[in-house]
Amino acid sequence: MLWLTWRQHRAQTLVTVVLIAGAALLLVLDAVPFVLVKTLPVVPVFVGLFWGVPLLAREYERGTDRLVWTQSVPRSRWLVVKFTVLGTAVVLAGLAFGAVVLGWTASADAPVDRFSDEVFGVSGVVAGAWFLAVFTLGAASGAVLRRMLPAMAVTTAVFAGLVVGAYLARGHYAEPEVALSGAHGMAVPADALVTGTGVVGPAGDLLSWDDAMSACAGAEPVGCMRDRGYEQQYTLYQPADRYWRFQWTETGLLLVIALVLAGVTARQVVNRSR
Amino acid sequence: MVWLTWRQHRAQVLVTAGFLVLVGVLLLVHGLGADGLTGDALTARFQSIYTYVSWLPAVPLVAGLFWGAPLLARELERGTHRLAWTQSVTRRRWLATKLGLLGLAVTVAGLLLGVMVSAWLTAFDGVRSADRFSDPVMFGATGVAGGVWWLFAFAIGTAAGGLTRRTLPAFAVTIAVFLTAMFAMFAVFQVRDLYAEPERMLAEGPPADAFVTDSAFVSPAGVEVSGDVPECATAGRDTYLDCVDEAGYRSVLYYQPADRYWRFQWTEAGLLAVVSVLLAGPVAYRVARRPV
Repeated sequence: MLWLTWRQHRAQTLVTVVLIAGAALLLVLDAVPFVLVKTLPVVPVFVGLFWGVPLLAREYERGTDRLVWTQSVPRSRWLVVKFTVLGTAVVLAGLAFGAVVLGWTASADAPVDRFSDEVFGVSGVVAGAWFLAVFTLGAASGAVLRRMLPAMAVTTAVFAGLVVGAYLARGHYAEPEVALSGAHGMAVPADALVTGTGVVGPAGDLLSWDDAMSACAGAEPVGCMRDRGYEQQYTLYQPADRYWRFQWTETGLLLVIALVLAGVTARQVVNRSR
Repeated sequence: MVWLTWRQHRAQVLVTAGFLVLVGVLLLVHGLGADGLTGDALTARFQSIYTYVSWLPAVPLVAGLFWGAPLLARELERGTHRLAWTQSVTRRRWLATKLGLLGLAVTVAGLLLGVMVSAWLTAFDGVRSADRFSDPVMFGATGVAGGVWWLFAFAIGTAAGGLTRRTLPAFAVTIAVFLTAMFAMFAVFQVRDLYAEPERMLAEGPPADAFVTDSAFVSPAGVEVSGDVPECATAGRDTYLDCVDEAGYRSVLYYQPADRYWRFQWTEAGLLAVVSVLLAGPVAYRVARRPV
């Protein structure tokens, strides 16, 4: 089984190793253009497309599942070995990539810090969890749809949804700190994750910009805001030292998702007859 | 042939149309909500969605993967090319119709997305990064360049499928070539800076919406220094600019004026269109000639 797994997936393994080495080299040389930094969160989807989807969809599409599941190795063992070996490889790849990105953000002239949306998901330990979750996502959609191209499309779409969900959820992993504007401007610490901005009401209540503006709908905004006593501005932020705590929170969430998707896959493979 | 093309590719067409409608509605709602906002509130509203908008340069890649890569690879992988190319429709016509119709469709999709993004940007006049010219993300997503990036990705995908003759390797090659092309254009050569000779000005600040490509200091004698000013080599980070000022240096800016936007758009579109033809042409020729 180990030999079979290596033989069927060596292309992915070798390409992934080369790509991570290449990414490390680019980041070390600091030759990453801004446009590519912006697309860093997209990286895990390739794990889903090339490691996850073919795992089952390719067998079904080519009919090779009939051969492979009528050998002396039972289906359940086939799946357990494939998931364990490939899952471990994917997690290791993710952790390696995460370490490379984390090392790069620590360098002085990196354009983004490690807590920003662009790199949080592909740095540190959570990169491994993202790789694993998207791998199981690809495997599950391949097992359900049984064809590569639709499974790839579904993996891409669900992945985009997951990333947007993570962006929206990240601000809520802990109660944010509040910084108020003073004589010296806003005292938001460096490298913090800013999750919201707005104005402080007369009673000390915090209003988002949208709420404050809709209260002033129709009127000249600057004067109206002053009349209503919205003098001070605020920023909600998560301090930079919460990075590791957030990393483990998101890792936990993603591992639950990965577990559920692996369960779906196993159910499809073991229980469903052709 | 038109019916066949629709029948084989309707899933891609419908999903892309659905995606465009979804993005259009989101941008419309978001843009309308910015009506009447000013200053920090406007910036905050723009920033709330900028992260997602900054993924736009990756969208053409998805078009290349799902429109381009399967076009030839799926037929060749499943052996259905033997059926398709032995009918009364010649192989050359089969290829020409498919490439023409689908290429047109992806280009139109890219152009539509560009129109929607441009319209949305007008709601954020004056916000940093919300500029269709100086912001690399917005430049590539708006105007004619937006459509041609989609066509370019489609050509890469088709060529990769014709060469590898299998879907999965075609996907991998498409991603690799597309990312390499982006990387080469933006990091290695910074081609957009080369579309025209930049204007030079001794500046307090550049004109609005201009695309600043470089800056330097000019000594009182009129000599331009690139890098650090020699008189201020020992000055600290906080006092550096004051020191430069005292030494009589002035800053000079190189920029592309805002009215060059369309010229740059057409330059980039032409460049990508030529590369697309160069990529897809030989593959199409090879596929048309090779024995079934």
